[in-house]
Amino acid sequence: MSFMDSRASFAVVGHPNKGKSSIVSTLSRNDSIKISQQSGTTVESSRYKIDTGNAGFELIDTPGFQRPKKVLAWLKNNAESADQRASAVEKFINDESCKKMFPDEVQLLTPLVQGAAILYVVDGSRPYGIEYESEMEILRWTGRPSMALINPIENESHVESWKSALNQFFKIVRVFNPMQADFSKQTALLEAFSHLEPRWRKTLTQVIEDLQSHQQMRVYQSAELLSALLTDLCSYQYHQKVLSESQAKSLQPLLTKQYSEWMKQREKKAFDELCEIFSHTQCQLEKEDINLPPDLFDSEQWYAWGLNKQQLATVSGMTGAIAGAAVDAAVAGHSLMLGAIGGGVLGFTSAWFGADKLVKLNVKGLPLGGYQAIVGPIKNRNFPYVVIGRFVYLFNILKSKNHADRSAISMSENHLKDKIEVMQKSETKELHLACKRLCSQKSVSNLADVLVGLFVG
Amino acid sequence: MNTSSPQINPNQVVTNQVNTTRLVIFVGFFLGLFVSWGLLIGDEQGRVNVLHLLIVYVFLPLVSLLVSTSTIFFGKGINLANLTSLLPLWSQAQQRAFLLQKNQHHSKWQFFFQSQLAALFFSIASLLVLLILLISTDVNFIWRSTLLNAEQIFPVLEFLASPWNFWHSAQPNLELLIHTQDSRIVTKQNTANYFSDWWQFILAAQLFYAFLLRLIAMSISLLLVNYYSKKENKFYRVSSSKQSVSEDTPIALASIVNNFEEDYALNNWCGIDSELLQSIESKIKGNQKTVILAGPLASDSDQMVAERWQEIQLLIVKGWEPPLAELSDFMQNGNGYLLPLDWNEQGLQKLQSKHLNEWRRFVVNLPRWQLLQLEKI
Repeated sequence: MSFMDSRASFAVVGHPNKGKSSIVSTLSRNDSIKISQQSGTTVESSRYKIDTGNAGFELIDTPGFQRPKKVLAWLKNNAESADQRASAVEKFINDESCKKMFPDEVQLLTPLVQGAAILYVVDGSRPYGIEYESEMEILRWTGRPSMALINPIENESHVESWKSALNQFFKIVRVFNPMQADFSKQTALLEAFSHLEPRWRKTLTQVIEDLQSHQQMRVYQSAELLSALLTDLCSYQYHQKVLSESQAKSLQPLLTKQYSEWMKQREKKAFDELCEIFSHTQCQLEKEDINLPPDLFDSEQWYAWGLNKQQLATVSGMTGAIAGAAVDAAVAGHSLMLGAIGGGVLGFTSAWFGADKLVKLNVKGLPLGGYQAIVGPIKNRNFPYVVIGRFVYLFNILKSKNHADRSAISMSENHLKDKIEVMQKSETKELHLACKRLCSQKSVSNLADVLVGLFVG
Repeated sequence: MNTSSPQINPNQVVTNQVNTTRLVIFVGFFLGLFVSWGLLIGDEQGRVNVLHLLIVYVFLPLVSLLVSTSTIFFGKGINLANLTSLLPLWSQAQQRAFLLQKNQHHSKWQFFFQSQLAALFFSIASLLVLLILLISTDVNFIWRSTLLNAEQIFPVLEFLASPWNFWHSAQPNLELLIHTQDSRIVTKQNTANYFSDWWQFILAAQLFYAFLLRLIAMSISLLLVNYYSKKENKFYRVSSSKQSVSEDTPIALASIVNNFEEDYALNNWCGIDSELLQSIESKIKGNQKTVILAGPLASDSDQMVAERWQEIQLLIVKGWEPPLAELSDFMQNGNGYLLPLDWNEQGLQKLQSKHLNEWRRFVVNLPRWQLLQLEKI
């Protein structure tokens, strides 16, 4: 039997506006589920299939009870004894007049009749009320395995009185705040789910293992993202070819603006990708743009085929060496490789010293050289740390932000220094070396591995 | 002059890989083209040294495969792609593409894959050159050696040809070796018709050592690159049926009254205790004439009386609870004032604005009812 066949299914039910959608959002790690201050926004049951790779489970967000007293009365009229209760509920959801009179209750009871377990949600910050008993009684009539979740929306003032009441109706009662529950609390809840139905235990244990490995994987994925971001931001250069040095200088404001725009967009893209790793696809970032060091503008000459002086000299040197080698071959090696060596040296030096004249030459009106205005790359030693600090700060926020929490993320002062201080000495040394190499536009092998220490702990 | 604003390509990292792969393939292909052309074109008599060909098509591919494979496991990975990236010829954008690739996780596997691809294109170019020259010119395969003779070379060639021993015409033989040994001083007579007989052996050597082995190495490295990339991109997925929610209604809110003077019947829907009830009654200007009861706490007979009540009611509900349809059903028949209240152990407290708005939104659809909020709580 595949995990799809034994997929655990949980219908989240309860009074309107008690955080049912928030619980589904947090447990399914889905921030696209609408959470509204207005009651009655969930009008039909919505199913969320959570696939963790090797296992999965299903959460069903349902509308709240609207006419529990009348529904219970209807059920009582249709069941004379306890053995008829479950079939009375089934009859209720299939009855055409009930569908019209009690659409919300039909919607919320249908998944239960189809085999889902019950997650009954109440608000622990408000006192228990006798009116809830009709709802709990209806749920008891379904005969499905059930658990009650006390959601302390504003505070925990009435949690204990709720526990006393709920314990009489439900097998398991837990306090769970979907806005604040950290990863361990979420997995503990899933662990509790596995006790509701023995046949779901195996699949839910696998779900928990998968989620733990995803948590670990997110660390590596984030380090990989930061690695690409750092490489991009530290190596990016924006340039424009022009004919004269004055033209190059006149472009400075425009190019600097475009350069910084690119850098900001690149950082934003990395932040969006980081949010995606954590399945926060709707979150809003309130951040100040990254500060770029001043004086990034420069201008340099370019020569034939757009090569710079060094490249032109290298190409000329190589061409000279090949031509010299041909001469060596022609004299069957009697020249003792002097042709290749001499040709290389001649090609290199003539290109190096004669390159400036190319700038002024034209072939049929086309210039053989000119100037280019350049912005970047950033060589400031502190810059990689600024990038890392912002990224790691966002990582830490996202790591602990629940999907029911829709508040915007505000990027404030980061604490990279503290993070670095707790790293091992060898890791810190590797990080500093990597940053130094990045500032020199040199490659850093396994950069992501160097950065991963910043995301742990 | 290009002054358009630079845009981030959403698949930038992937694009960079594609660009560097193309560059490396280009290098491999043209290297194969030039080296093979230089070797196979031969001297003015079209003579080509078979031993040189074996160096380029057997020895070099084997050694480079060995070096690139061993260094991928025991070092940083020395291979053609890595070496190509170090050439000082690339543009700034190409250099950045290489830099990005190098700084990626498992980049050495990507470089290894690209190198196998480049070597494959090297062998394709070499095969092309061989076939073109075999068709368009007379290639005279000979061999020369100062130290070795035909009897010493033959077992080596025989061993090299063992993978294609089913292809008889591509096998070396001692007679062919003896007749195609060349000397720049001694001229042999009547051996010219042997010179072309090597082509099948050379073709088979190229196909096996340069092409087939690289194809296998390239396929394995591609599988590994895909494996690592899949391993790192195994995302958590949530699929859902379309969430069926009604949109938040535009703000249409009922106005609030702070008191009233009419006589009324008290309807304690939420079962508020008598002490709180008294404090509410004392604040209302109107006179309480009677008490009726509807809602979750009411008996069937009380409910029936309340539902038939046509006089003004003061209906008290829990302000923090959202209005349910069963309340709405009840209110369709009556009229009066709806008073949502909030309280704690200390007594009555002001209703939170989010709750008040919920009730205002509710009452706006009930024209015979008004929302009451007492001023002094």
